[in-house]
Amino acid sequence: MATWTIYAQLQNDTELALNPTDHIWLNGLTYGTNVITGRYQDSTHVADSSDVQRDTTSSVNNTKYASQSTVKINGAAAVSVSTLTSGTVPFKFRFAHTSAVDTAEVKFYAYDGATDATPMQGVNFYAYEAYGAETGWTAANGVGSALALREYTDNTTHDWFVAISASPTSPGAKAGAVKLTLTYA
Amino acid sequence: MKPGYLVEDRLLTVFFVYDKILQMVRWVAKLSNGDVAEQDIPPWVEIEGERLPWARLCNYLAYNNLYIDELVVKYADNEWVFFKPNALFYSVENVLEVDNLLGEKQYRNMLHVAAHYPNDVEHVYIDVNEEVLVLKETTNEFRPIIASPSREEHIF
Repeated sequence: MATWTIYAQLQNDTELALNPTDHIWLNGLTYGTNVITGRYQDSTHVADSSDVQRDTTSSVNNTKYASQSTVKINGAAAVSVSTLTSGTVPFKFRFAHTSAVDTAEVKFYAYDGATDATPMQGVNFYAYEAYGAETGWTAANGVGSALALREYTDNTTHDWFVAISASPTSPGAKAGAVKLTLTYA
Repeated sequence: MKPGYLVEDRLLTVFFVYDKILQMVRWVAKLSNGDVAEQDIPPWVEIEGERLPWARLCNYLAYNNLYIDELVVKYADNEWVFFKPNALFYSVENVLEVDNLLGEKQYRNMLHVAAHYPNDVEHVYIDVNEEVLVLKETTNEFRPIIASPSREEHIF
């Protein structure tokens, strides 16, 4: 049987398993504050379906896009994005199965919420997987630009450690969604 | 408690489980030796710690020098034949989609079945929870995770 869990990785090196109805917030300096147009988020948080903050003991790791090849981790100075590790990114996506399976075609991307190929409008969205030797962010907006995540062979547990960063290019609310798809056998 | 009741309960349980399986979307492979292999019907059931039934079936076919003559998909009493005959080989994969990942997540599980021919590959994607055909398409090529042994290797 397959199970799927998202973990928020906190700055105190613990993790928080998300409930299906929890929300991820990309904010200004503190929970609930807006991100200024043209800038990237300064903090990342988890809230329940009533918008009550869950990461109160320690905030979720924040990975702020600084340039195509650099990132600011938890407010520190910009460093090469390739220095991100499995412990410093904000999210761990876990796919588990009682049988050992192979995973392939693992894609992570934002889209307009209706058509996978259509990017979310009014937002720059970047993603990075802390694995391998990638030296830059992926502008993962629309399935055609999806971030391809690593593939596993003959495993019961498949973990992906992912950093995200987003910036509004215009004021106001944005419509869209982030999707992950994977194939297994 | 009378022993007869126990037996009856067990029988009811067996019939209930079997009835549930028959309601599920599942693949059915008609083998080159005339046998039929059906997902979720023993021995092609999920076994903890072992590979999924499709992977085990492909190993079994390779070991016994067999191939799949026809692959169909069943749901309840319906048998869906999606593919033209004489595919070289077939593949079965599971697709998981997690949508609205940053908000109230929505999950979709699909069965992706493909028939591979010399010049193209026919695909169907079936939502196993909604029991509906999501997509049917033909592509020039496709490299599956696990493919069944090819019919071509058995033509002399």
